Amino acid sequence: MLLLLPLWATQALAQETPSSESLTDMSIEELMSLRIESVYGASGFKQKVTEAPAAVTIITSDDIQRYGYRTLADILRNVPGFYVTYDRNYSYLGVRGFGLPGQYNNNIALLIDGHRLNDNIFDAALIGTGFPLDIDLIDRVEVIRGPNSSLYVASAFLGVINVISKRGRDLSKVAVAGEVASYRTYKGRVSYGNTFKNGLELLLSGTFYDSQGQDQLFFKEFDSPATNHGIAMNADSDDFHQFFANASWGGFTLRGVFGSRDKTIPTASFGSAFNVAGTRTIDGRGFIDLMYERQLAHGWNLSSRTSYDQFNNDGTYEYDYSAAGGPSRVINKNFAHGKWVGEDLTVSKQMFGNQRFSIGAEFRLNFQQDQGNYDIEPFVQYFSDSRVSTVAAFYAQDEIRLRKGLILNIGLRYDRYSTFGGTTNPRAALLYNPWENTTFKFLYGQSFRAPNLFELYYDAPGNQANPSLRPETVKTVELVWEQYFSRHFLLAVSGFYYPIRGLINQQVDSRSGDAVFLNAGSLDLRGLDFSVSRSLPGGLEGGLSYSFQDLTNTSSRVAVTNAPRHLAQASLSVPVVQRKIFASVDLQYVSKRATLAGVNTRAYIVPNFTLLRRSVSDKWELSASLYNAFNQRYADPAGYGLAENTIVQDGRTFRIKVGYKFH
Amino acid sequence: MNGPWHKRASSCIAFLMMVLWVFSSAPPRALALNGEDVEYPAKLAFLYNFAKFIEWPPGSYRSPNSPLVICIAGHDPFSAGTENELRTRTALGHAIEIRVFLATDTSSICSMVFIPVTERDQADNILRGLKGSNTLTVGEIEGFAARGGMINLTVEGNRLHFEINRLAAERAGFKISSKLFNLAKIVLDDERR
Repeated sequence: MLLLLPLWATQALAQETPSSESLTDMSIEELMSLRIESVYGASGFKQKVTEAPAAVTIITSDDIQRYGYRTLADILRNVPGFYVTYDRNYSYLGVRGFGLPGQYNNNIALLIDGHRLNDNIFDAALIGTGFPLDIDLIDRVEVIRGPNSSLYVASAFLGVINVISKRGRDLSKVAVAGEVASYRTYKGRVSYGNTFKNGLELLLSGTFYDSQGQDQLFFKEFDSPATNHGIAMNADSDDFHQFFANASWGGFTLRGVFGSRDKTIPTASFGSAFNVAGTRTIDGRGFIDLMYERQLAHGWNLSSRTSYDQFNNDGTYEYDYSAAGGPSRVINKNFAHGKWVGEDLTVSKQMFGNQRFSIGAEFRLNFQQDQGNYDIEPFVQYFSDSRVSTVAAFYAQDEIRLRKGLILNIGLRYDRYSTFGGTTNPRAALLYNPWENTTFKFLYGQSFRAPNLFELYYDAPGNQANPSLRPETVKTVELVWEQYFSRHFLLAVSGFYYPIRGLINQQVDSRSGDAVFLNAGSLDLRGLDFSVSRSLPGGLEGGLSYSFQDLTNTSSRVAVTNAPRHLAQASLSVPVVQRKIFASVDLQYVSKRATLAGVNTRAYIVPNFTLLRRSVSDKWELSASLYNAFNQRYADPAGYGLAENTIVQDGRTFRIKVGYKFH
Repeated sequence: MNGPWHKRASSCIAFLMMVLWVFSSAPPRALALNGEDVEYPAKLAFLYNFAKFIEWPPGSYRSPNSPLVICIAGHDPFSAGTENELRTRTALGHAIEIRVFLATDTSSICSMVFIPVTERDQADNILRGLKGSNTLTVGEIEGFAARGGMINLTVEGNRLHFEINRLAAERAGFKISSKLFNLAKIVLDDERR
């Protein structure tokens, strides 16, 4: 099959070569079939990728279908410079070599339609099956790398991922989808979308997912007769349900997102008993967001966002104290519950032609931030904490077109947290277009990550609170070069230097033996991203990327964990039959990574194949995917709270998916 | 930890194949029309198509030899290359001219005004100024057609589409070919405004 791919590529190329050389002579029908890319997230308004003041990657719904991506994590592991680590409960995103185990993606800002998804206790953003929006409802994902992206979003330390959902117009009435995958995995979705005569646009959707998971998982750290020789039986199930609603009318857009996921944990995390089916986490996340946009007099624009958010993280852990003479089954509950309301106001003014100015303010009231830990029977309360906190921010940005081909973008943001105080962060970008197909971006920015409530106050046994934590800070210097060669071939090279200071790092207190978060550590992150992508009319496309990153611990000689020096990704999608059948392959290479125990995981290459078929009328589509096609055995470094040093990942798995639209 | 050698070898071969494909040179005529790079050249081609499939009201041209003038408001998003190429074409017998739209231009000079998204805050002012003229107004701004613009270019699902405010165009005396109506989304005036 592999050997055939280039052959198909050549054939498709021969078939799809257009007869005319210029767009000017294309018919409207032809023009309407071209693929367009632009970006919203980098500076808050829609702009061309080359004019965004950051390094940007876009993944579209078409890519998601063709490459058979199952979750947001699947999408992100194919983004240049990104890699994903899974501990059989949560998926963790590593960015440019920085992905400390146990950070629940709190150093990126994950947004759905510009609404921040990170919660108000861990600042966690779930990218695996816990991401609350069905992947089929994603119109596009904008990935904006670097702290430079942080002007419009608080605490976007290493980047912003903005997931843009589909709208009513993208669906025609009722659509259903169903899939079957390895490990008795079933998924179903029903959606309704419409645009009404009175201007109302509506999308409603519901999804369920049920996965039995692996029947048996082997963990060598538990290989003893007392713990079933290291085999965890039926302890890997993963279920979720989700709802999504989007209604827009005039200048108003109302969005509702809700998802709840229940995962059984097979790894005996936090010292719980091995090979039990009762250790699990339930993660719920929802929000309602009302946006209003209006043009005011004299070229001013107003945009307002009012929202209500909630989240819950409920962990159930089975402990066995029989070895110490205690009961053999004690149920421990650990929870974090949060609710908050927010208001975000932006006013912008376009000066005729060459300048755009915007100012904004953001306010968030966290009126519930509860954490606790207790045993049910006999009831023992180990920890209980309730807080209320606020965050207020002001920002200003000016985009100045100095002359044709030269844009200066400057911004300043001030954040005030009731937990630690205020911080001011500037950024500047100079975008230079010396020739038509060449863009240089000179980027400078500062950002911070506020200590979250878990890090500040969590005080259950084995942990120690540290209310005096300060934010960790990062500066960025980045140079991006984007070069188009004859329209079909894009080369992007970017070199960066991020000094990270005051890193909030979990450490073990030598006296008490408790885990505690400290502003301990300075990291210097240097690297180079290199990517080329090519796409041709008719749908043939492919890309290659390579990233080198050097993450140096400047405060100690210990190797930084889960920090690969080399990452590579490749993808190729070939239209086998006239834009209706696509054969696609993507693969990821991750070099060796240090684990907490100081041992290295081995490098891996994992290829995934997908065959997609769309019907002539686009009424139905069918896809078949093979993930980790060569059954490569590989493992990810484990985080704190796990006895395992590494966590073995899934071998070869499949998925069959069917979608149908009722027009 | 690793699978048999042939699995790794196959992965490497797959990788190399992709490397080869991406770097192999395409046939010279295999012009790829993709990515963001294509958005504005394609939009300019749309303007050209509008010029070909729309009949201007009688008296719009001083003489049969007068050019069709496309005016760009504010920051010009089109490249000089694509603009120069369009200048070599004709539409319904009229040569095509492209120039900057000045805030003082209210009528007669421009056959068509394109208002880029960067000028969205000025769109209402420009539309007000052009009321009663024989100028076709084209935008790329959300809600532009509903606010009285005649044609609006939109991006939906990564493809270019366009909306026509039929009433606005017909009130000004334009005759739009049914071919355009068949491909466009027809938009009504937003009466709440």
